[in-house]
Amino acid sequence: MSVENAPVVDVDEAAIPVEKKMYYRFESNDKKEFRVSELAIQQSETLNRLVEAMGYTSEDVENKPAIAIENIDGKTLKLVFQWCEHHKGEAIPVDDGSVPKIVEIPEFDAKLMDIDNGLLFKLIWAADYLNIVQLLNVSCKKVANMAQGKTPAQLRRVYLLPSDEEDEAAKRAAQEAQDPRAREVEEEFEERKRQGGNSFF
Amino acid sequence: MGVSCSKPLETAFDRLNTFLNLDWVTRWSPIAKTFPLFRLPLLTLIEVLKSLDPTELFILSKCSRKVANCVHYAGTKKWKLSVDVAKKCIKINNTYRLFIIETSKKTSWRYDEDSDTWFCKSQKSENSKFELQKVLAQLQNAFRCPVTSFEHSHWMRSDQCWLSVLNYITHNQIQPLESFAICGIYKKKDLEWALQNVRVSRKMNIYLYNMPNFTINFQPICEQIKFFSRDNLRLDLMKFKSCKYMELSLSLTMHDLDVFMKEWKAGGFPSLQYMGFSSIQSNWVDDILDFRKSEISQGGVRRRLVIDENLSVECTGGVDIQADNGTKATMQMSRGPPDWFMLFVWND
Repeated sequence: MSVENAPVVDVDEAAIPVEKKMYYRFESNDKKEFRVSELAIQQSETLNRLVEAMGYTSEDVENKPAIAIENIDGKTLKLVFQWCEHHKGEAIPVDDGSVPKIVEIPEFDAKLMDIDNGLLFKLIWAADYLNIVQLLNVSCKKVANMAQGKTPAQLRRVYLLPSDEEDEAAKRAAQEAQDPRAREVEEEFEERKRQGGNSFF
Repeated sequence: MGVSCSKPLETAFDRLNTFLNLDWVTRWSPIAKTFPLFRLPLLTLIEVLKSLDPTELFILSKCSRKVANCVHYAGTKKWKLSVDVAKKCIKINNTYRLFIIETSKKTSWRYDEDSDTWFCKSQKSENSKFELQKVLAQLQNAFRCPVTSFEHSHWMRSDQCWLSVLNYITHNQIQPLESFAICGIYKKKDLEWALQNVRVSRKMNIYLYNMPNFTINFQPICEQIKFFSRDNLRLDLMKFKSCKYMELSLSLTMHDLDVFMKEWKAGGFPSLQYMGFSSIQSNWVDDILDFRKSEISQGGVRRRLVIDENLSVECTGGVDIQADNGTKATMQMSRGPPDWFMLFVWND
């Protein structure tokens, strides 16, 4: 089991403040371990509720196995916890219902999200799964920014959106795969219509 | 699967994951500069849609019918559309602008960053004048929000586009318009149809030119109306009983005003707070409610009547009167030409 010592958390024991802040241990689905401060965990509603329910003591944290987060890989989880540590203690934003949503991407977040779109996709999934509201806001804003000044054709390419024709073709293919006889019946029906028949039967 | 911990919590998470179908391992392999938007979980997708501005959202809706059916999840139903037919412009939430421009080339979209404006260059065809209506229909289909403002000004009688767009709006939404403004030369039957069919809740501005001897039968339900005509146009003021604020420039005589004021005094205009009236005719010699013109036009204390946060009018004299129900008001007239008459109804 490898321990991820990235900027997420300073694992140097001497650096741990005198008041003995609790650092929880989490493990990604590729067995990478992270230590995250109690305050940083509060940014994630899911993890915060989880650790509250578990009621771990400092000894439990050290002695019991790391909490496994099996849906998220180490690379993504590292970004998530880096973000949580940087924003620890900040208030969780409340949606005021305004559309379009006003979201500013801070410099730190912009740098953190300067990643390929595959990893950004995973980061958004992770933020959603762990219910980290502000991380979800900034990452969704980053995706929204990809649409700036683009035409429908360009948006189709950027967001990998099928056109109506492609949707129709996919639908037909799915129908045919489900019931090959349906296509035959349809063709027979069309043929009879061409021949002038009023009734199919 | 999921966050593992104590046995009961683990079981609870497993159940939640099964319910929410959180097995999100994706087969999508990232290609530079692409992002599989519709593979995001629904609530996250909605967050992205909420972060797009209205024009971006509209352009996105043009990608396919499937996408068009989703964009309203962003909460667009509470948005408002304003249509300016003459400029071929649709404003979304009074901020984001979309212009339709005719071109000989294939329909295309262009975004101008400096003016924060989208231009839809539509291919010129026989029906190209209805392109605005087509784009409006697409906007309403995508956003499912109402048109709240309609504006048109033109000086050529042949333009039918405005009527077609107005017809589309009146037939495709239940909500009345908040504001309606037309200015120019109109065919009598078109104008009649428009005024009799359009429903406006707040504000109507109508400026008519070159429409002599036109009598119109319409009953506005709006709060504020401004009606100006340079010609001999007659309106039945008795049908304006819903209005709170009226500014009229028509051919009315002092006798017409006297009849109107008698009706007001009897309580026939319960909503009215202000009426300003000017006439192209100068035969104002009769009395109004038994007051001489010289009395009504005398100067006096300046008072301001506030209609709403954006609108107020100033009274500078005149005579104070009282309706049968005790409502106090002031009538004021000009001392010389041009003739004008104002009625200020005072709240407590």
